[in-house]
Amino acid sequence: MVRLRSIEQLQELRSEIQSKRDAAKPLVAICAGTGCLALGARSVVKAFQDYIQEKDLEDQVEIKETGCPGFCEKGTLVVIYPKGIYYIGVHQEDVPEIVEKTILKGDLVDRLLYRDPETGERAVLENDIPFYKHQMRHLIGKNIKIDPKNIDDYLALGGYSALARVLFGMSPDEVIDEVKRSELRGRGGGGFPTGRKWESARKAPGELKYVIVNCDEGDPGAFMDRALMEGNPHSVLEGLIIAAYAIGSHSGFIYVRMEYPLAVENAALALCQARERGLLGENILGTGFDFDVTIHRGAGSFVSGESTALMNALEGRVGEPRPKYVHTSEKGLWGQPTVLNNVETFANVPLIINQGAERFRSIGTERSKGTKIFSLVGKVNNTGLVEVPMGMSLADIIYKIGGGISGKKGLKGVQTGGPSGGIIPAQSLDTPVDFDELARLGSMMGSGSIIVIDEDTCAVDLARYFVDFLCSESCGKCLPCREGLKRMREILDAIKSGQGKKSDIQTLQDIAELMKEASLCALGRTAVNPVLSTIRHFREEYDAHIEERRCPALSCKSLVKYSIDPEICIACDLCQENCPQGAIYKSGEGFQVIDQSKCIRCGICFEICPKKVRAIVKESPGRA
Amino acid sequence: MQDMQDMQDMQNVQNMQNMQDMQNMRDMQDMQDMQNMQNMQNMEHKRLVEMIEQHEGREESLIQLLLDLQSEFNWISKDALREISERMRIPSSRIYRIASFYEAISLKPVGKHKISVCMGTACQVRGSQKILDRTEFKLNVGQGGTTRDMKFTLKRVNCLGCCAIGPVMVVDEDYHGRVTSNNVEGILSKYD
Repeated sequence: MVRLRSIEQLQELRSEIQSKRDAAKPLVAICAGTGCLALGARSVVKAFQDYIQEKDLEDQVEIKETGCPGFCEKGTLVVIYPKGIYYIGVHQEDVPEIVEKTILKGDLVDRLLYRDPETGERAVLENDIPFYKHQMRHLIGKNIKIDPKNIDDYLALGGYSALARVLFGMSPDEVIDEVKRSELRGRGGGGFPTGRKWESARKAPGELKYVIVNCDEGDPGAFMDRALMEGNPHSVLEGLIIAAYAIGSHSGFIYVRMEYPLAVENAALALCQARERGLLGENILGTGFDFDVTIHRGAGSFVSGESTALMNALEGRVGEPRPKYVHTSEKGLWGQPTVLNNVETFANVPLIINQGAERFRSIGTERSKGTKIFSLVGKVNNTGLVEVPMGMSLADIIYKIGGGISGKKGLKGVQTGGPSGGIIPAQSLDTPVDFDELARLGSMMGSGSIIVIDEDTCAVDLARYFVDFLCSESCGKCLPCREGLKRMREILDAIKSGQGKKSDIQTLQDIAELMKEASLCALGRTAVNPVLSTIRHFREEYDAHIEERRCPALSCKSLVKYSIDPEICIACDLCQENCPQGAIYKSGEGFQVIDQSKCIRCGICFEICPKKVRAIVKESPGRA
Repeated sequence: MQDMQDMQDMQNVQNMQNMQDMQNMRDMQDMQDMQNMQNMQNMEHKRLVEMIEQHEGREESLIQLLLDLQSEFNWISKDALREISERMRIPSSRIYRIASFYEAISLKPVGKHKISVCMGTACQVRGSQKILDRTEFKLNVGQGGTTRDMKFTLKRVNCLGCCAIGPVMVVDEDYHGRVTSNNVEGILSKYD
């Protein structure tokens, strides 16, 4: 492969790739992101390959395994070009029909099209589907068109043109100025202005400087960074190289968590291919600018996603945070000026360079510009990744894009910002989503997870879940976080088991206040958000647990009771056979009975009782 | 840190049906340890040295080395730690601290199949606790534990990033989406 030595050679290569591609030739794009792979995408790919080979169509039809376009709920996703017919929920058995009907004859396979659950209206193309129609897909929109394992796909769509523009026409100061004017804020959660971060790293004295991509996406419920790194790694890499040029760095790192094996693989492949093309390494595009990147796999530690902890991990140490009064843009990795940004932040950079800061700034709200990818998950009909302009309301995201609440229960609220965020109650859903509005409600943007919860989720239990999560992820270096979380967990456990005291709420608030003030890093300072926001918005649930010993959501095991309605029970023995405690026996009268003294309230009987029967009663009777 | 581990161990103990189980398990693991050590001395030792040599002299790639060893051998034995310490000239206390800090590195031998039940928020609100409970019940092990026949090791993980299809359970490299507590058994029966 020829290393590119000039902007002309890059343009020639791009034209050459484009000219070889026939836009009219049928192309089967199959999502090969982790979500679809879990739903069987691999067998769908194989079925297409086999069938097309069997029918001798290899020259006429192209198959592409692409990045994740976001609609994971309906995987496996298959798009048939040139028309762009969008099939959802495809299984290997559907493949012959798709080839025969759609590819060869141009007909539609009706049952594989998206159908509006209410109106019954079918959608043929991507933008007919409500899930996509209301999005603004600047970052993940290209995923379905790109094979992340092939740099040519990225180049064909104009990839690395921003890099060329920067290297051949802009000084580092001009690049920083453009990013500053775009008002891009860090997408990892903090929302710090990216341009300002770059500027202070550029100005900081020192020969050696570093740039780092943070793909240690530890927030449970967030997976946008995974989708970008897996699905379009070159867009992140291009942003990274531009950042390196802007601050004067020659060495960069991509820190990916090992829980994302496909992201590690695709990022590594992207680096190799970029090097072969002369877009990375020595003398990039013949300009004399040298820059190379190393991949570092995270070893499974939530706190290591914190910027200073991540730098410790890169140095081969335990991933614990450092004191924050030292700015990493001045003294970061190995004590040198360092810029660390999130995956999505870097992916925005080529867009800003190509379209200009003004265009980027025209999208969004007063203080949050551009688009943001959210992971919309939990009890919502259309789960997946959604990219919307900043400022769209939570209600629009959940109802217009997400298609409303799944199941029969009512909406309780949404949890945003991962373990550092809070819970926003259903009545505040008109809130426009941006950095400041979410903070005003006691939550935060975080990396962008929106977890929809319904009445089955107990607010106390959810707070306890996050506190427990952070308890095991706290590095233990500073006392407020290490001890504060443990004491909060103890109190929440007591409340959940019906042992809560009236003074507990005040104690929780006092601990929270202290942790906010005195913790070393953001993990401890924001760890209190799930507790404080649930107390603020769902106080009556805490009171029900403490005063009435009752769990309104029927979720806290110690406060629920299972019994069998003798009128309904058909004595099928299913529950008795599956009860792990042997707590269920058959009464002489031909129905099952639960021995309450043996019952551990695991709920297996409730799950296993046939849907047509539903004889198990689950209740939280409360006691004085 | 130490305290945290104690807590976790405690939990494991509680999850065991009784102390006898625990003792049997320890005996099993000791035996396994010895067996592993013998094997190490032969074939694996050579491979271990080879892998260490790739990183020699670069202290910063210690975590990467540990991850490589983890994926090659499934766990890191005391002997391996000692070997790394000597060859990389890093105090073994430091290596132990790192190895015990990171979740992905195991200092105990693990079973033939690794099960990860995702306990991320999205899976959690869709009932992953029930999946974990059911798996623990079926295998008769607690989280982090290995079955007596060394067939399965069960772990809870924080988020696997397939939140849209939760609850998710991963066995070895196979992702199982939309798991219900009733099909846990079916999934487990695919592995022998």
